[in-house]
Amino acid sequence: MKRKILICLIPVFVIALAGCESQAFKAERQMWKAHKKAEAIYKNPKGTPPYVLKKAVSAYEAIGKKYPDSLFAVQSQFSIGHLYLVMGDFDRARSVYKSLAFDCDKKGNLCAEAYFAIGKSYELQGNWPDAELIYRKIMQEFPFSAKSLDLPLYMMLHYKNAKDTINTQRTVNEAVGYYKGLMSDERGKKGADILHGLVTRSYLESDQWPQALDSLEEYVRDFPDQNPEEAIYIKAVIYQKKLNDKDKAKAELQRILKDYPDSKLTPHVKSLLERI
Amino acid sequence: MALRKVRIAQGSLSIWKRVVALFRREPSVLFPFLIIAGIELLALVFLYFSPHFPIKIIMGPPIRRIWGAIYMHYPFFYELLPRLFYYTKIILSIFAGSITSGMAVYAISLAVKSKPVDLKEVFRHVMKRYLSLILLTTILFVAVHFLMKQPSDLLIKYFRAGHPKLLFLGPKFWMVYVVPVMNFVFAVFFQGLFVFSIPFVVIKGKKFLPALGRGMLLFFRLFVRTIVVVAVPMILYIPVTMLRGNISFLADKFMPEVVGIVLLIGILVGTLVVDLLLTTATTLIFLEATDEA
Repeated sequence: MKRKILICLIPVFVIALAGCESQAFKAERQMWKAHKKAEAIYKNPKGTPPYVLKKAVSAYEAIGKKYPDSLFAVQSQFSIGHLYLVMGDFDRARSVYKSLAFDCDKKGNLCAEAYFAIGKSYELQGNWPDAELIYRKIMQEFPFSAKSLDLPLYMMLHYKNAKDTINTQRTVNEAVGYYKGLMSDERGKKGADILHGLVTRSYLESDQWPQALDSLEEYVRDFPDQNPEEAIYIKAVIYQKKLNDKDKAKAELQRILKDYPDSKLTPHVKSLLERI
Repeated sequence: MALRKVRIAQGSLSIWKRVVALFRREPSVLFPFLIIAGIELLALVFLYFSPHFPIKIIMGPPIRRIWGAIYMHYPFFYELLPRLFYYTKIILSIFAGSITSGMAVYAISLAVKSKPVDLKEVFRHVMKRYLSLILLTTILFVAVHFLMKQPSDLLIKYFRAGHPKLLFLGPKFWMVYVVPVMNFVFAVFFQGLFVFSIPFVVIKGKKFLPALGRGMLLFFRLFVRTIVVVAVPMILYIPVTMLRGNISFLADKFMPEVVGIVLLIGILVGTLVVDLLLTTATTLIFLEATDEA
């Protein structure tokens, strides 16, 4: 009898476990199903019949309704916007993103992401000036969001790809000024090494090698605890590959071996020294 | 009830008739396999519900620490589930599977000798040889799951090192055609190599090392017959291996929960079909070869 009761308890136990699924997990599952519906649209937006778009949008809207105060509601709104965007319905996409930007708490990454999506919709529509205006708004209003740190470089690369040298130079200067400004802010001091890295990247991406070398040397001086040998290694590579100055490249590599003998870069340094 | 003695005929093909006859006459020999399948099933259920309360309390911290918090979320958890179950199965095979295999072998030997099969008595008999069985199962597991993977790992390293071809054949041919066949051949060989050691422990009462040595000797003596008898049930597992190889595709095509179904099929086929047929058939061969029948 006891054994029979035990055997009967097992399925009860399994069903009880299934009922313990968290709301978050259920929402994630619903999100996955909605993404699946959207997948076909992303693959072939031009060939998507309206009812397929409607189904995917409804799937995302259902998540928003079922879990209104969760991050899933926000994510589903973004996804609806992206669907309209990929379908080329820029006005509807922007209206979805604007509702997100309006509802957000005016701080953190979420608002920046919503504004970036608005900017991107202008960019995809071929309206770069309006996109740039939005991007600058993000940099001003949400300076420490992940998006705002990307944007100066993003804008600079836009002009570089368009081979617009004047605006490339302008945006490099702006990017460097922006990052240095953030470094002087009290909130930026904690991530000063990251911001300095972005300054260096601005010079590297715009092929300004002397400025990049100076910035790397400043990094070695100002951040002795943040793997400075990596900055020296980059200097060596710039000398070797971009400025064709093998002597200076060798000198920088020797400097790593001398000043940072225990560095994990040592094998790479030795290998590069042999090849130069 | 009068017990009839099972006649052991010659030949690798007729062995399956004898296996079926044995099951019909003494269904209790199936019980150890049902036990281990039940344990594996419970383990799968436990793991399947890892992201949910209350199992989350136990499984959450190690999953987060070892693989990352993302694997507690949908659908990423289902990517991890096969690996979690694989590790669990290693532990279960060594500590519980060794007992049930021993019980099955001993129960079969009793049934063949027309003696009554009392599972409690069988369990007590096997537990006296538990340490030897654990050691044998561990060795079998290491051989099948680690050594047999070495050639394919070496091939992967060879092609990743930038070699375009090996013996005039490209990596695709090796990985798609040669490696699966090689893995199957190795699995059959290692399974056969150790398959008689457990009967030597539980039926003949040998210690670990003599059982291991004599099991291997018997395998080489009955090489072709053993290989054929081991290979036939293992062929039945190939569809499961193919399913498991395409588990990511299936999860993406249908839904991630399908991973649980594939693992369940793995238990049903692996334990209740392959292990059952393999253990029974090889035990019959052992009994015949050692004049125990």
